[in-house]
Amino acid sequence: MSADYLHHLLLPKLLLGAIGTIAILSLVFRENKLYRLFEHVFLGLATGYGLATTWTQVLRPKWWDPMVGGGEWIWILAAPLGLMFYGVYTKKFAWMARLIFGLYFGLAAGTVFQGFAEEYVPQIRASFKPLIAHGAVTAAMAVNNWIFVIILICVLVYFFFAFEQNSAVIKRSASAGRVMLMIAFGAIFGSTIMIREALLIDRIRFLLIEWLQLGHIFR
Amino acid sequence: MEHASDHWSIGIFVAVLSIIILYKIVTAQRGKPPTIRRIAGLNAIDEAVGRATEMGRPILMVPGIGGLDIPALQALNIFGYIGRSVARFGNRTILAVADPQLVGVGEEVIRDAYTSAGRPELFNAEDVRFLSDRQFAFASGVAGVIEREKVAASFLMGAFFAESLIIAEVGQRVGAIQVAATNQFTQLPFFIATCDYVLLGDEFYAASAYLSKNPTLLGSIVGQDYAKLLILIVVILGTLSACGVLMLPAGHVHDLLQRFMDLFKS
Repeated sequence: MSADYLHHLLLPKLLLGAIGTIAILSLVFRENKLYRLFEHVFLGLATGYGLATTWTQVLRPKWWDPMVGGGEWIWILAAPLGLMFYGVYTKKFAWMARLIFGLYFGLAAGTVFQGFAEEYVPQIRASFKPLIAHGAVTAAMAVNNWIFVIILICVLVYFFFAFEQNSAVIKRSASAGRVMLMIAFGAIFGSTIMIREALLIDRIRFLLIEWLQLGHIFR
Repeated sequence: MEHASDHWSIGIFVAVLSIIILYKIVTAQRGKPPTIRRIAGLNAIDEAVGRATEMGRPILMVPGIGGLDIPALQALNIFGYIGRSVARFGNRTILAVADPQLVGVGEEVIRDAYTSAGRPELFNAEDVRFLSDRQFAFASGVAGVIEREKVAASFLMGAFFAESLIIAEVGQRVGAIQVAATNQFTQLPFFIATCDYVLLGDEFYAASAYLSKNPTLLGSIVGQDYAKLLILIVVILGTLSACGVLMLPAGHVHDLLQRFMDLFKS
């Protein structure tokens, strides 16, 4: 082992990255002290990082700079509003927290209306599909559209809760809807596992090629 | 960004759906609360709590990583019910949260559960834990809690993303009975693969209403069912219109059907 190689292995950035990766992955075998140490390091770093990004990406550019740099002192009013959230920790000021939480929920509920129009209405429009082979619609497309509409109806029926599924037709439609959902979930599972494998491969690549420099073996 | 007001027809459609839901909420609050069908996965909750008590190991609850949003509040609603059940058996509840805002709310929910079950002395504020607001740091924290505490049951309900499989897999490894529910369609396959029971999509919200017996929530679920029925009718009419537009020659009927389809064009 050359001195250069040893120097490379012991570079703090790479060494810590490698030990951290091995420590976190070691949970696959069992919970151990190394995992526990790096779990807490990870949590601590993440909290510190979160705090820093809250300041650098939110508070400073959107609140402090416009206020202090831009003279928009109206933003000072956001400070007491934000502080009201902390009222939850004292009995005396708990009412303040309830007030701001209520406002927060109201705002969140309001955005749901917009979200519905943006997300679901285009889906409803996209489900208007011709079921007959005619003109530009080929027989294969018509069959595809039939499958789509049947699955859509069955899945929607499955998600009715106010009505008891007593009728045989409704019961069978709901069961078919559940089966269709499971098939869809299977497809999602397969494709997402591939993405997860890519993440694992990236970590293994870091360990074997970047850190241990064993790239020549895999060429 | 699209607004409902950009297309008056879409705005009216959203308003009609909202009015249906509001009407059902108001009638449920004033009259007899409506009933909804029982969801199969709910039986698992009592089973999980009972098993944890027999084993003398704690129960873990995770309201997702979405912050103080609707799925997290629905999850806390369900956790309140589970917490009462756990408290009655004198067992321990651990609540792991990823959003600082949820610490106070979650603490209140669990404390209320223990108090209403007549066991306030069993509530331990240390068991409501903020781990991290970073996705994978939170996942590693929850994995550590599951392994160290050897939880007997874990309830994963709320908005979950890529960390869902990491958390649920560790739970499965320690032999915990797991019940999951999420509104995130893409994470359901992972919960189905690793958990004992999974509430799919809307079942999550229905479960919250069913367990709490809250007339507002029950009315909302019934209202949403009627809204879904309306959407189903619109889809059928739209499909028939698409067939008509394709088959019929240009004329009044053709234009009328096309206009109906365009009402939902964004």
